[in-house]
Amino acid sequence: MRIALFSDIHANLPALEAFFKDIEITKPDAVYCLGDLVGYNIWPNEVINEIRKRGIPTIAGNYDFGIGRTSNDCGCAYKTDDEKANGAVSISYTNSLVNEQERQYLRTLPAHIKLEFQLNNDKLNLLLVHGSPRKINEYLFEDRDEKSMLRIMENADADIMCFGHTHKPYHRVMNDGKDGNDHFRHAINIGSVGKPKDGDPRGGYVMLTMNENSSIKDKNSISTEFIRFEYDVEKAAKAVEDSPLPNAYAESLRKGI
Amino acid sequence: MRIAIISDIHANFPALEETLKSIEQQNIDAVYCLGDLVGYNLWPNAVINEIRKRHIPTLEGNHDVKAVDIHNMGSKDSDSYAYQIVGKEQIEYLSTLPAHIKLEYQVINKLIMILMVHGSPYSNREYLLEDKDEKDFTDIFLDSGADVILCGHSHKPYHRVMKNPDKLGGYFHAINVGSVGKPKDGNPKCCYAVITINKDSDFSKKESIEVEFVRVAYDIEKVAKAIEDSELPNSYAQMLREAY
Repeated sequence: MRIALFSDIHANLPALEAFFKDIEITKPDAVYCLGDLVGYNIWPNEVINEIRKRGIPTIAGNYDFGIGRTSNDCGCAYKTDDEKANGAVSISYTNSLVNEQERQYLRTLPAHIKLEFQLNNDKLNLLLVHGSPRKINEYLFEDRDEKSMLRIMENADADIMCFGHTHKPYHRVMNDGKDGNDHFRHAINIGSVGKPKDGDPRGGYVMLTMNENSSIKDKNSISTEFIRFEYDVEKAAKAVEDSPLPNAYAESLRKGI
Repeated sequence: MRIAIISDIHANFPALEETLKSIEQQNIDAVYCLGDLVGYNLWPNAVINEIRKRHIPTLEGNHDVKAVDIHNMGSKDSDSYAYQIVGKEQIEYLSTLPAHIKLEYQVINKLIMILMVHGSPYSNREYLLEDKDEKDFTDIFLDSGADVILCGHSHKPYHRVMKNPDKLGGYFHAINVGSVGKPKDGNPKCCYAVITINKDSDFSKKESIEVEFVRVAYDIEKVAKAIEDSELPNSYAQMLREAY
């Protein structure tokens, strides 16, 4: 079973279209979207409708949660005054663009999806969240303290936890076994389709592969591939510059920051 | 949010094709399948390939497990013909399907859980029938933490609303989505369910979710004839014509 996981499209239609072309080649068995369909670019309705049209199971991101409720708060952790000012333009512009039916879709997205596998007479839970199981806008960075990460996963009963939100992909395997019994937990940040921040401007997603021997006892029995694909970055950046959105968002797309 | 749920296709590809066409007309936001892709009919590989091509999230049904077991044992018995015709690649797909999928909704200050199972939360062979004792039924909801249970397996669709006996109140919804490829409720047309969740769905009211059962015509006679011309028992053809 090969599962494609993507998120953080952020209204970037050229990137989403390139993602759909890429999975026609990589042919996953299932596809899930971990939220943040809107914000920071000019195509929020188009992105929502492309995902709806394909019936892709999708959870709400913090930006979707805000726009779904016509809020002026996207739950984003802006640090500087410039970032805050730019963020205010983005959410207000996005609220002005999003149509009623598309807003209702965002409003009724689930917060989490959990897949419970029973392979080898053992259970294996795959939890999909946007930020963390506790909060839609909590950032789980790669350098998070291992104890804290394991506690979050244990409380959510997650053996594999996939999430987005930071736009920086990684796969971290931790052994949470007790009394000499291995129990490997996988924390996987799936990166971003439409607004990468890891220095690589190409779109990114994850292909998770499980087989009939996948188990919490064997850390190599679950594999992830971080796939990057080219898209027309310049088109997406120009769209930002030709809109009321701050030009800084165009630069972010060009540089992957 | 309108979610279409299909189940129990049982290798009936012509039925699946018509059902997917119908879903395309319904303004659906997401599609899930509750398992039993194989058994009783001639097109298990076409069914599996179509589900995979469309990336439809699918649970493992008891017949999907049976197909994997029969392949692992290398059985050549004539009564397992329907499972022997499943291809190797398709068996690999069936062998890694999840048992349950849960959707968790954040509603005001609580999480509402929609639990998808093939049979019951405990077993893909257990039947959750419409006339189940109410106390036994609500105990299953309390035990699994679900507010809505979506199941298949019996091929008999229903939507039953029960009061949550917990002091917090609210309602439980048990929904059997029926069968696409082998209905047993006397109506030979394909069946699937559409559930609608709107922005005011808070599950403290009975009407928090709407459930609609859609019936779809397909060329039953063509499929029944194909079974009669095959190594499968003729009784399977009659079951499709009469939906029992």
